Amino acid sequence: MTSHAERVELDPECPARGVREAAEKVKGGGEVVLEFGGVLRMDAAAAKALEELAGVAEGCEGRIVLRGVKIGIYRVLKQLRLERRVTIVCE
Amino acid sequence: MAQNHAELDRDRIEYLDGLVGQAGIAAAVFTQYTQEDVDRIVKAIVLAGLEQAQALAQLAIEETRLGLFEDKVIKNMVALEFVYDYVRDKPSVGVIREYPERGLAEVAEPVGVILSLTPVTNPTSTVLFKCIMAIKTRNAVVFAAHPKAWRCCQETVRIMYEAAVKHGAPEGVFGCVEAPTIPDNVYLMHHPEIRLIDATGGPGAVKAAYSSGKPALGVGAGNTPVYLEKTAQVDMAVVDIITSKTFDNGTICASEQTVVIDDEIYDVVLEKFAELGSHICSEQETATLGRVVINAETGAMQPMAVGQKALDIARFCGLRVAAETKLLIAPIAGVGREYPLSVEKLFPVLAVYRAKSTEEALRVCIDVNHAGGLGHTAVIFSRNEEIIGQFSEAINAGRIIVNSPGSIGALGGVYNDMVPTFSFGCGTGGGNSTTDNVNMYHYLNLKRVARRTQAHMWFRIPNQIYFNRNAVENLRQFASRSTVIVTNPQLEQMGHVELVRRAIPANTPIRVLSIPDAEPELRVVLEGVEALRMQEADQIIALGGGSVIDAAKLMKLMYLCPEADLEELAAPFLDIRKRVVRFPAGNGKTVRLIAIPTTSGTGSEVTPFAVLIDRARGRKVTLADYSLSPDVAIVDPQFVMSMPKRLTADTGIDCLTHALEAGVSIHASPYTDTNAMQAIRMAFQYLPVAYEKPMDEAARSMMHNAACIAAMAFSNASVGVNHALAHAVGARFGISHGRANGLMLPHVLAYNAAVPAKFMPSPNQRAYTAHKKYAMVADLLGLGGETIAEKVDKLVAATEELLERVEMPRSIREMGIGEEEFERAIPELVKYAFDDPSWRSNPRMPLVSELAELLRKAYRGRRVRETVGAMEGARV
Ligand SMILES: [Fe+2]
Repeated sequence: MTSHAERVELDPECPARGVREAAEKVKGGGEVVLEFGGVLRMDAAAAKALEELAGVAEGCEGRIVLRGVKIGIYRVLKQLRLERRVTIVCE
Repeated sequence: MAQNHAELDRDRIEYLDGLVGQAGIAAAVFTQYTQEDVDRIVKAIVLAGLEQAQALAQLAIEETRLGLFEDKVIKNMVALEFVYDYVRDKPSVGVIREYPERGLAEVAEPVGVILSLTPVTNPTSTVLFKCIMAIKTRNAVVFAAHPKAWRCCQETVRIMYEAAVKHGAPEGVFGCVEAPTIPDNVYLMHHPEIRLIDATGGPGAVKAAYSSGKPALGVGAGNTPVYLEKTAQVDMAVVDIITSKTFDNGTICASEQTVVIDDEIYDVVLEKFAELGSHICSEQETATLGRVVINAETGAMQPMAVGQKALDIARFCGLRVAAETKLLIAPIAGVGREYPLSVEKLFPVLAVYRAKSTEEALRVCIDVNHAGGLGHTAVIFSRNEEIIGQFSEAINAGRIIVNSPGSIGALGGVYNDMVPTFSFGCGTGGGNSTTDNVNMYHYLNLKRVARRTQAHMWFRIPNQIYFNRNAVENLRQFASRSTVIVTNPQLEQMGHVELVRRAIPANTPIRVLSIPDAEPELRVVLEGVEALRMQEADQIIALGGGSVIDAAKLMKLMYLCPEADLEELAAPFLDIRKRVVRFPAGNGKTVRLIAIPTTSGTGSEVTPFAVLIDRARGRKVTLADYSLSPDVAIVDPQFVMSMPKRLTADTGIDCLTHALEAGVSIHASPYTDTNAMQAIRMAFQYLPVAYEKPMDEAARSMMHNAACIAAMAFSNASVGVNHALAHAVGARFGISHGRANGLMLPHVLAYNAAVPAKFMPSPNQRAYTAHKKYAMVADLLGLGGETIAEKVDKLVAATEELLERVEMPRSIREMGIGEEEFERAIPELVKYAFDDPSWRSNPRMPLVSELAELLRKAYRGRRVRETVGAMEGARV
């Protein structure tokens, strides 16, 4: 993780909002760290937003880092094959 | 994106991918939901559906022009209420079933995205049913309805979806293809994100689903035979059949198609049908009906008739029927192409057949069943349980409905306790994978969590063992009407038989049966059985070495169970609890077997084993069963005082090998360990003394006990690879059993103490412990050493030294066997050893190459220990 990484704390009630915000931040090709620590469950909107975010990052050589991902959410990412498109950091 | 899409344009593909994509996200997200979440959502969609049951029925009628509004409402309500009643209290998330006594649990895993094909005949009810199952099991569904019913299906999906999402279901959980086509279905069936196809539809759709290479659930076509047997309650049967066959104008594929009626009640039944609003067709009307509603070329029903009212069909065919006619009854004289109405008719036309006998009735029912209805549904009305049984056996149907309506009966939950469904599995008869009423469990992957279980173990030995000098005197307590002493001529000459005779209560009729001093062959056993019969013996005293005692065990078995097939009873087995053959229980007669050993090695006086020579096949077989164990063992040293030196050494080393192998066996337990360790200790201490000072009665006595104690261990823990190899070498080169064991022993100890190339599956052991147990033996013998490796080495050295002291040959080479001859024999020896059951309890699973290597080591021989270093200081 570089020191220039942008950090986005996800709202447990609406994680999709933060993920969408991150899309703006990563557009320049930098790194965005999504703090999943408070998120207990990933909803469909967040999953869809994350798919889109991964697409944006891939288009501009940006990097998406997920922190504090709970095991249930990791399973969702794995099922959607999203885990390979982002970097998941274990605490 | 799927591959097979030549007939679809890009927009359509994008549309279909979108439906599957959002379902994929929903399915992934759904995995996080709890039981409470899904139960809450299921209840919400069921309530939403109930509210719309009539509206949806109306939509279905308008769009499909099939069936009856009233019945469609009922179907929707059954699909909601009865299915909900079935699923409501059933766990479907996490652990759904537990079998603690078996250490098993089943954990639910959703299947993912399901492609669901739904039929034109039951469009809305099938969708309602599948939505409930999907939510209950945390799956997402893409619905592809029948092209003639997609609008009503789409509306049903919309109602379910909105209620589900409103109550927390993931967005995208249900999707419905607009204006679906066959190319759409083909594309979706091959879509990589579709995990399961649930095809409730016509045979074409079902076949396509199964051909897609995806896991699929399908239903088969029906052609329900009904046997209306002469003992049936006719009034009930006729009402049930009319209710069922006219339900939704006969669109349920489980509904009755041909009723086979016993001659005795045929006229009464038809009168009843007529009385309740059925029109009984004349021969000519039946022919007309057959021509119009059945396609003469294909033999299948005409689609225009499906789901229509009886009156409309009659009108269409030009039949004059009463205005209240609800069912057309067409008498037929057979099944097949010549009788067009003998096929499936999803409309209120019912064929009837007059049967002259039960046999004929069953035959015609089978014919109907095979005329397109295999695996589906059959109905019988009867009060004769035997005939119901015959019918169930003869007919291939997933649902055999007894004394109730076929269609509503097959749906389950209304007339019986079958699982409520709208999808009938038809098994292999219908080209399906299941005969079940498809239900929520078919939407789950079940993960079996299997905890390690510990098999029951045992420690079984004769319940009376008498030992020490003059133990033979204990024979006095055993009353007998007639006793046979099985022994050999040599022991008779030595006066041992006389010693036994004197100890038997006076006036007991006694016969002495002298058999050759060799492993028994069948002839000897059978001659013994004859003697037992003639004597009407109730007591056998086996006085001798292992061979005599084994012979007596087999004589007792054959005497009590003359039908016993020794050849079959000797069949190999891995686990005595699961063995293929069962030893016979006997005929209630009891015969006491008392074993008095005259050698101190095999321990046959307490073991459940008996060796038999099969001369005809030139082989030796071992029978094993606790019923073979003697009832009483008398371990009296006076019978072994005159054992020759060499026999003392051979049998003593056999005893030591038994104890060392039982000690590290995968079946070893604290019970067998106790005996094994004690026997090892005694053998190390007393064998050299008994060998060097044959008249030392204390040493003889202790070795006699040691052999019996070691046998108690290996009777329950078995032996190991040492015995397997010794059996092979012994048989091939005529080397005595104990000697062959001694040749292998140091090499096998080192082998078992090393890290195995292959572990033996051993559920009763918690770790690989052979080396640790050898170290424990070394400690017990006071051999010294710090580490486990050092202790094992000391034990091997002590064993080698003991072998030296009792003048055991050091190598197979020393036995006068040439190296070339031995090398040539190795493949055969290895095969023999690998066939031997003994190694199956060895802690280390022997590879064939390892067996060969062990044999080569034994050929080259053990280390020669000139001094008595290892044994010095032994605290035994
Ligand atoms: Fe043995």
